Amino acid sequence: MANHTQNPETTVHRHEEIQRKLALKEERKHHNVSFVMMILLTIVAFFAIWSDKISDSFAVLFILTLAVVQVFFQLYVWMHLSHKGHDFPIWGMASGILVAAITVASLMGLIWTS
Amino acid sequence: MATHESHKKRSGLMDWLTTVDHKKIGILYLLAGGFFFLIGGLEAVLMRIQLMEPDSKIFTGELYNQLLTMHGTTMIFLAAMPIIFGFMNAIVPLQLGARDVAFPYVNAVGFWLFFFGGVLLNLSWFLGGAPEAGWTAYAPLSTVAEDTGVDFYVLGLQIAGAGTLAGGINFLVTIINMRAPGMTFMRMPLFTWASFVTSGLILFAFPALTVGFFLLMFERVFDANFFNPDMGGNILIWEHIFWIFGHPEVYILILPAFGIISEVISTFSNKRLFGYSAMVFATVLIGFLGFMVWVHHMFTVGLGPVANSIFAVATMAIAIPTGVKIFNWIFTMWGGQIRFSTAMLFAVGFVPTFVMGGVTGVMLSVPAADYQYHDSYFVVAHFHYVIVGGLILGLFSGLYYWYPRMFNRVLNETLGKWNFWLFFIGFHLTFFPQHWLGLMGMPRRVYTYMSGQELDGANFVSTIGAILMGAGTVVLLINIIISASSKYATTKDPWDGRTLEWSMPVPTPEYNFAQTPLVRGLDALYVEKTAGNGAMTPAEPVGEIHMPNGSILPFILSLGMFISGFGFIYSNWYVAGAGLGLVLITMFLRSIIDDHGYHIHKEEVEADIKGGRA
Repeated sequence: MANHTQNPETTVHRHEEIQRKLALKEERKHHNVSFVMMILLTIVAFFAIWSDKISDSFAVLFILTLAVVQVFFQLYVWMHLSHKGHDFPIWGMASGILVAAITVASLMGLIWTS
Repeated sequence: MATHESHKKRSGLMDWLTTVDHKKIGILYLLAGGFFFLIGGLEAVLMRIQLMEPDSKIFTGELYNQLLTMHGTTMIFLAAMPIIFGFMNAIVPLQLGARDVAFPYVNAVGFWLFFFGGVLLNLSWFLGGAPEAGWTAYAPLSTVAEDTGVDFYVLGLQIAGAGTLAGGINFLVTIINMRAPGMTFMRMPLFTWASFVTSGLILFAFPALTVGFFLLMFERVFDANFFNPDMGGNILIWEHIFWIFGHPEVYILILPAFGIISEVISTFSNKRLFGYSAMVFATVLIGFLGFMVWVHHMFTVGLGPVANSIFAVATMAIAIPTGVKIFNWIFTMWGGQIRFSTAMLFAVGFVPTFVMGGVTGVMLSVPAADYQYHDSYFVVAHFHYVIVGGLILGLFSGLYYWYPRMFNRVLNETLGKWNFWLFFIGFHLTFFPQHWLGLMGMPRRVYTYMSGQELDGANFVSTIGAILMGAGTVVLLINIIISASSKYATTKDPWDGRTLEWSMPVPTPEYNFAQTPLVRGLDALYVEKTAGNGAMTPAEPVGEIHMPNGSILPFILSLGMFISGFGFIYSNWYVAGAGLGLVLITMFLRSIIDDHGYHIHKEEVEADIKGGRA
């Protein structure tokens, strides 16, 4: 009898437990994947510079692109920007990047091309 | 729950040196900013005395350049910004329903850094002469100046700027995280919104200034060549960096004034602000556009028609959200029950004055026309119309409006009206003729002019106006002094206020809110008044209140920066190292000393509520 009233609660608890474990497992998978990816990207970037077959001008642009990808891995997987409650950090970073990009782009355009 | 017995009440000077209470730091900001405002005003009057007559020889050449530089620098960095921070400190946590800012200790660090930076800069008067390269310190004028004036400028402002940056970050975090239950973003009072956007601008604009100052400091102290074309540098880099900071800076200044005006006009018209969401949107948009217009300070540099046109269009676009604000203020007054208190007079005087400054701003934003106006008194007239006619009238309005909350006294209304009319008439007498002086070709920053060029009359009128403005400020000082008398004691809500800062008794309790209030709409207090409650509904039971302990470390840390500043100015590395060492020691102490603050017990809070003190 007593078991009867307790059972639903423990089931709920067990369900929550399972869900949390699944979420953790998922996240661990993400971490592993991004960790391997980041190492691979670093190796690729290293080879782009190391190899003589790839021209310097292309290599610079190429590793800059890889760097952007790495930043996103870093921010979203490792610093949990994908989780709830990170609206303000995202807004802050986006507007900061925007301001910095406008500044750098127009400075380069205005000072070093004219 | 263990309570901490480490809390000891300090009193007198030590209390003010160690305080981390946002209300006291607000007062400190206001006093220090007010002091520098008087110094900057004195410098302005001295310049106007020199320019009263043609061929006058009272303050000539170098001395005039020093007055000019220090007037601009002092007014922007050491008067306007600290007074704004004073109001933000005193009012924003109250308007949010918070017990303090997010980082009370950082708040104290910010104030003391600003204070010591300002003192360092002004000590240059006594130590070989003030900086004389203009508040913009353009290279190569600033890099080749041989005396130590510009060194004081760079180091003093670098230290003060670090304090401002700390303050800006603090208010961003406070406004995002410390809002009372129910205080959504779209229920925040406009002054808090303006403080939020201003803090964002500080966060993005001040690093540019910091970088620029480091470059200039390295150029002067360590013989670097960033701005030296002979060695592969580029003079224009300084101008760009300075204005990438400098243009957002003018919005950092004006947005809080917009916020104050919105509060005052709404309160004294007994109406909710017209077009609240449009006002919020306009504030954010002005902040956003403010970052894309810096080149309009550099139209005559020769960046080419494409660059000039892009930045001209961006500049003109700012007139649109500003116009939205102007109309919303007028519509707020329309049909309201207007009470012309001194605060409201300043707010009403602000609106047309700021429009005039805005119109000359649009005129200046046309590059072709700007070639004519550039470096003439027309520019001087324009930016004094927006900064004095906009910001300073706004700050005076805020001072009369919030004085009861900050100092538990009201200011005398009769003297207040004298203050307003003297200052307002004096202001227009000073700066209105300068439009014509500029159009007639009088260059700015030049210490004299010859007679017989039809410049005499307008210059004379301008000086008379400056003296009237000075007289208005003296009336304000008298008003502040006599307000200390108990005759001027105030009630908790002298203006029939609408926002949360009028909901607690005077003097404001140390913990602001005995119980965090529940916010049920825009103009939270007004909502409760119309609902017949008269007071805020609490969102929590009476309980223990956690408070931070005061600390002398912010003062010592800033003193260390001050000492190292002297070391760098005179290239004495021992002194510089010792100062930075002191900074590191205070940082270390702050890190290892565990200070959990203290608790105000439930019984004390209950006693305060019963005694009408909370």
